[in-house]
Amino acid sequence: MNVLIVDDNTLHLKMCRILLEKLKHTVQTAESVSALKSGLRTMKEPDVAFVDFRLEPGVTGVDILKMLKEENKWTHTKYIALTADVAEKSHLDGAGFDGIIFKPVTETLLAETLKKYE
Amino acid sequence: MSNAYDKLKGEIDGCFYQIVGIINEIIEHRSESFAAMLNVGEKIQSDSHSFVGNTDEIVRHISENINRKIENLNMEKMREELNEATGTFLSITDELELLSYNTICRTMALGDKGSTITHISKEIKKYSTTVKSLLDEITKDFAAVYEKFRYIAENIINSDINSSAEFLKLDDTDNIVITSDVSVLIEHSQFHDIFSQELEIIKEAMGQNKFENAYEAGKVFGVYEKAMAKLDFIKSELQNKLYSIKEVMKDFLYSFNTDLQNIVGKTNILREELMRVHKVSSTICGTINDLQAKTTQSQTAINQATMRVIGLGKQSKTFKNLVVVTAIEVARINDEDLRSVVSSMLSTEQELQTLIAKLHANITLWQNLQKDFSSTFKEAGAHLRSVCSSSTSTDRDQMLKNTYELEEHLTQFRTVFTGDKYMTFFDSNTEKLIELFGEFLDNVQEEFEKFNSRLTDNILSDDDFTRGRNDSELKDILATEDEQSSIEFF
Repeated sequence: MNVLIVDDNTLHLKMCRILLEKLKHTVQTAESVSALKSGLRTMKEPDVAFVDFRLEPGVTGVDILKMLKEENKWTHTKYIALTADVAEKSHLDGAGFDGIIFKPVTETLLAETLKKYE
Repeated sequence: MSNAYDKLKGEIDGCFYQIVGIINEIIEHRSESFAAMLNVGEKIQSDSHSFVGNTDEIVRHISENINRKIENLNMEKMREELNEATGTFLSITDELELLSYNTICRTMALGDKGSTITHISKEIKKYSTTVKSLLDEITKDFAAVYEKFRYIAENIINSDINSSAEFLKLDDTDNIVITSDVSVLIEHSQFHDIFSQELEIIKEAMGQNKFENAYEAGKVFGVYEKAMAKLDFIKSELQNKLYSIKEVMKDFLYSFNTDLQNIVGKTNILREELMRVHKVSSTICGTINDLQAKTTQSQTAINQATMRVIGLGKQSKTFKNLVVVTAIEVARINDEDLRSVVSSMLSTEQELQTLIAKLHANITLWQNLQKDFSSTFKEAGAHLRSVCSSSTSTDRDQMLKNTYELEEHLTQFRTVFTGDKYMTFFDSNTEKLIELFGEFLDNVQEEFEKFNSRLTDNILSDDDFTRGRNDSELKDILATEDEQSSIEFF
């Protein structure tokens, strides 16, 4: 599968890349909103996009979801919210994500999540 | 009435303990489970760095040592010299063959007089053929030696030994920064004490509602008024406090989950890198073993070449003898033409001696190179023993095992430590607490109304009632705390 990860935690980004590549997925990453925007022109529409909720001041994962769905017309993609903030559950539930993963994320959790969309 | 207060107070205290219990459970997880995981994570990190650092140091030493050999290696020059010597040797033997043919022709023309030299010349021709075939073998031997060393040199250049300096580095750009601070939670873990004491004071005050005169009635009245106002204030303070605790808990859980994420992230990255380092070091160990074997094999090829060059030297002595005999015979028959042939033979013989010496010198160079490589790989092999030995793989396997165990521990921890559960539990208890406070307030209100109904107009209009109302007191812990804070602050 083609997987996109948007997260400003570079350690987490690196770990996800390693684990997903080990699971034989193709991985695209963006560690900031600007990196995502500049990379969009060359990016292939992913099968699954993991989007961190807390990104940078004034921008949340919900804004990214809107941008990718509406502006970028990635309609085939399944969007999974990533967050370490348990209090955001209700906020994310109605935001239009296909799933939510609470951090810490493990290899098993990633594999199980992607299996749903294979 | 007292029973109702007691029951309510008991329920409120129960709620307080539940909330404090949640905070304490989180603190406990952070202090014990998390600290243990963090320790394991840090141990894995330091062990990995030490393991990779040692491997890196050994491989770097070997790599530098071997690269220095390759840089100083002038195999092509050695091979060219060898080819030049054997080439000259071959062309001389060709000339010698031709010379012996000419001599045979000349001596045959001399008849019986030249029969001895004819025989010698035939021997010289035989010598040339033998030497040619020897040289052919020597060339093959040296080609084998050269191929072995070329294999060694190319394998060093193409192997991971050279690029390992980049490979054997662990990721150290993203070190874990722990952000969850348990002291903030500890600070809030005793929040209920003041509220509980305030309620106790009100509860006790409410129990003293008997009066003998207007002054005492005024005092009870005043206490009721103060208690109701106080309860309103406490309720609002409690709401604010619970709200701020919820925010602290939320932030803490976010930081805590991020810390856990970073530990699991770092552990996963280290595991993958350990496996990569293992792969690189195994390849290096394999390469060194292979090169060691090839170096040993090269000794056999050099020995063979040496034996043949020694054989060539022996043949050369035979040729020298033949030249001497030819010279004597030519002197005996006194043939001018043959004198020049003898002179050519003599110079050829000297030239062949020089070439044999060159071949010996060339062999010495290959032998030195062989010894040099042999000791280098022997030393490298000895150093690498600590990288490739089974005890090293046990250490590494243990580290890998630790990373899997840590992840397993974390996965289990995830099932017991769910922030969502704590927040939901906290919210439901907070709601219940505020409800109970409202109930407490309603009870006081009801009691106050009952008390009011006992007050006659005479009592209410009595100055003593007003005096008693003004003199009424209710111990104020929350306000006292605030005052104390202000004093400390200024």
